[in-house]
Amino acid sequence: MNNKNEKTEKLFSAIGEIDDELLYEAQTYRKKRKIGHLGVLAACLALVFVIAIALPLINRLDGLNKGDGSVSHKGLDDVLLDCREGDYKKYSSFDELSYIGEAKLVWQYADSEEIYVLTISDDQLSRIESNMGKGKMTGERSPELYCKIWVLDGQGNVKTPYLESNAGNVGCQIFDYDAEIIPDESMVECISDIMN
Amino acid sequence: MDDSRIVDLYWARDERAISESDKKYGRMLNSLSYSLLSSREDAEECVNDTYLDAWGAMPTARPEFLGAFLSKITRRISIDRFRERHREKRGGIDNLAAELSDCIPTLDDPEREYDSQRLRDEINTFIKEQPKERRVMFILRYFYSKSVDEIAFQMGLGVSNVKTTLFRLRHQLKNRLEEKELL
Repeated sequence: MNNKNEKTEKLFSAIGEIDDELLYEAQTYRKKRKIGHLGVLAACLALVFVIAIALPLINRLDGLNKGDGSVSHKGLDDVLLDCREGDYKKYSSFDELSYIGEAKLVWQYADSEEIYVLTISDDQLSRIESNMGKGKMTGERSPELYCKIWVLDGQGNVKTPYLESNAGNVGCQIFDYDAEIIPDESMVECISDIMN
Repeated sequence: MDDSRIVDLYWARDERAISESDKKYGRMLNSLSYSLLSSREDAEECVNDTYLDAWGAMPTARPEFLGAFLSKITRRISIDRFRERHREKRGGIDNLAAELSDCIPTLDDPEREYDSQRLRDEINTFIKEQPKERRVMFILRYFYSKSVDEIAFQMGLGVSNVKTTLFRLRHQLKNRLEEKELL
């Protein structure tokens, strides 16, 4: 048996000694339950209430209103949700993506496996890259994201505005992540301009 | 029946311990063994040997999570059975081992000594640091030997999501093991 095979076997065996409480957690894990029709209706009604009545009050209390009636910038999630019905190329699998050639924005919504793709120019890529890594650090608690987004630079590198600019690249591969940065207004505006 | 009550039966040398264990965990243990051995007959034998081993281990051992305790025994017995009977043949364990070889650093140091306890501790630390969904995914794949499709279904996720997450986890683990010079 060669050295690498031997090490793999040792690793495989070592994994057999994972702590019992971790095994118990995995063994008893249940997927998040989908909300039934009544739940969706209740959620919609609650949302209408919040938008129509509560949100202006909350905005004033939080100081989000800038005095001229506008609110602070949308998050990247909102921008991507706004363009969900847009005419973008869609793939059914990450395997269909090419990492060498044209630069691309790639994004995915939490409730779907469809992959949205938009080819971008070198100027647009430069603009995105100049804004990478900026924004507020999330600290220990990452926010729940409805959308995941990646930037493919066309040279085999994959990044995301939700991680520091030198992180996340695993080489020609889309990866999952927990947000470490909340992209700032300049990144959101940049992506929004490119999408529209 | 509660795990603690089943363990009490083992301690009391009451043979109902075996039937209760089988009722509660038999299916899971069979599934684990079958995914490693790809043989119903061998899987059944391994599960029976598991109960024998468990009978011998208790009393003395008093596991808090009986399912995990039995799973470890089944996995170990199944791997030993595989090694014994399928040395040259590719199968479930070989495929998993091939994936896990991504985690092996490629540093060239033939004289580096392997510390099994440190490796186990590091793997546990690595897994505990992951968010719940990721660590469940890692354990379901590399301990329980579930297929990517089964994991996606159980966790309510897309297959691509599972594949990319596992890929990223393997690379993170590789970097960790390289840093700590553990393999």
